[in-house]
Amino acid sequence: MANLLSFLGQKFLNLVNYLVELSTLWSSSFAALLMSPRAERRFSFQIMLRQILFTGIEALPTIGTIALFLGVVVIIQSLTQLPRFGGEEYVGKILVLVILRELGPLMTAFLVIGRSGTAISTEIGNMIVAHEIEALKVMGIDTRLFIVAPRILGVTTAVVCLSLYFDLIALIGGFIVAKLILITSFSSFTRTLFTSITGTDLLISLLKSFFFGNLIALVCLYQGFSVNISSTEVPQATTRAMVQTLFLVFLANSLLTLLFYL
Amino acid sequence: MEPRLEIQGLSFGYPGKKIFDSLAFSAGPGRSTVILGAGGSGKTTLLKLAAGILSPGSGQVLVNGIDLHRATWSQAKPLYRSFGFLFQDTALIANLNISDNLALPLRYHGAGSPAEITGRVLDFLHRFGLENYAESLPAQISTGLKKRAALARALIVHPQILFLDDPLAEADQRFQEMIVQIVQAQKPQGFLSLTTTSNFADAVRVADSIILIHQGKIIKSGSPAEVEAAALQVLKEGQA
Repeated sequence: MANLLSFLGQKFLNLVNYLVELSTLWSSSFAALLMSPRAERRFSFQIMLRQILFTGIEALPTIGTIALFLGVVVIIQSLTQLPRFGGEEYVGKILVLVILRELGPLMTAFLVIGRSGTAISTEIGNMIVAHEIEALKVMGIDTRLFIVAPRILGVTTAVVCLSLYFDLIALIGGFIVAKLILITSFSSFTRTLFTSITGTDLLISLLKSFFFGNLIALVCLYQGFSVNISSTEVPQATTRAMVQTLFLVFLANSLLTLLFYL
Repeated sequence: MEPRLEIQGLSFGYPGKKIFDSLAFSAGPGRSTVILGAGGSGKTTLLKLAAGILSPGSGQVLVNGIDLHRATWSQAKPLYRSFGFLFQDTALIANLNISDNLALPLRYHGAGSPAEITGRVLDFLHRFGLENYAESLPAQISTGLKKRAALARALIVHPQILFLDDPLAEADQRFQEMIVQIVQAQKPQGFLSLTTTSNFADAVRVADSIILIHQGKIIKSGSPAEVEAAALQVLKEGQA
C-alpha cells in the first residue's frame, strides 16, 4: 500500500513538474513577445497567420464533415429517444450539453492534435536534427518569437474558432440531415435549441477550447524541443506529444466540467 | 567598433566525456583564424561554443568584452546579429525557399524596407549564382547549391564575425575560391573570421593564424609556418 501511495505521489509530482515547465515555456514566450521590437512582433504575427491557415482554415472540411456526422447521430437519438420517456422538453438542453459543452471542444481538440499537433512536434524535431534551430539562434532569431508564441496563438485561435464551427455544423447541419427522417420542424428545433443555450454554455465551450488550444500547442512544442540530435527521436517525440496531449485534454476537460458544476 | 573574440578557460563535455578543458585563445579584428585538428577532435563543437550556439560547462566566450553565455538575450542579440555562420550541413530552413532563407534574418530584424530587403536578396542571389533557384526549397537543389545558399545567408547580414565550419571540405572549385575570396575580403574591413578544417593545405589558404587542437587541448598556435610541423604530425596521427 505504501509503495502504491509512493508511486502515485511520484507520478503526481512529475505531472506538476511537467505542468510548471509548460507554464514556464508559455509565460517566457509571451513575455518575449510583449517586449520584442515591432519588426519582430510583426514577423511573429505573420507566422501566427500561417499557423491559423494550416490548423484552422485547412481543417474546415474535415472538421465540418465529422461535426455533421456526429450531429446527425446525436440529434436523431435525442429527438427519437427522449420523447419516449417524456423528456421532449429536455431535447434542447441535452443537445447543448452534449454538443456545445462537451463534444464540440473535445472532438475539435482531438482532430487538431492528430492533424496539427503532431505536425508541430515533427517539424521542430526535424529542425533540431537539421541544426535549423541552431541557425536561428546564431542569426539572432528568438525561437520563442519565431516558433513558440506564434504557434500557441495560432493553434489556440484556430481551436476556439473551429470549436464554434463544429457546434454550428453539428447542430444546424446535423438537424438538416436528420430532418430527412424526422418530422420535427426546423423552427421548432431552433426555438428549443436557442432557448436552451445560455451565456454560461457558450463561455464553457470557449473556455475549454481556449485551454485545449494552449495545451495542444504547448505539449507538442515542448516534445518537439525535447529532440536532441538523432532523427530516430522525432517519431518518439511525436508519439509522446500525441499521448500526453490527449491525456491532458481529457484531464482539463474533466476539471473544467467539474468546476462549472460545483 | 572592431570585433574581438576571446575564449577564456573554456571547458565542455557530455555526461561521462570531457571534450575540452580550460581552452583559451583570442581572435582579433582583420584576422583570419583557423581551428585545425584531426577528424573528431571537436572543431565544430569549439566553433559552436565560440558562436554561442553551445553553452560551455565553465569558462567564458567574450565577444567585444561581453560574455556571450552569461548575457541576457537582449544583450546577446546584437552580438548574434553581427555573426555569420556557415554550417557544415547548411542548416537552411527546410520549409522556406532559397529566397526566403536569405531574407529571413533581414525580415526578422526589420533590416530595411521590404523593397530594400528584396533588392538585397536579389543582389545576393545573383552574386552567388542562385537566381534560377530563388523559388526552390532546399531539398530541391544540389548540395553544392545549398552550400552557396547557406554562405549567401551568412553574408547577407554583413557579419563582423564570420564562422565557417569546414567550408572547403568536399566543396567544388568555385565554392572554394568563393570562400578564400570572402575571408580575404573580410580582413581590410577589420572583420574577423574563424574557420575549421582538418586539412593543413586548406588552412594555409585562408589562415593568418592557426590554432591546432588535439585531444581536447590547444597544442600549438601561431602563423601557418610556426604550426606546420606540429600540425602535420597531429593530422598524421589522426589518420592512423
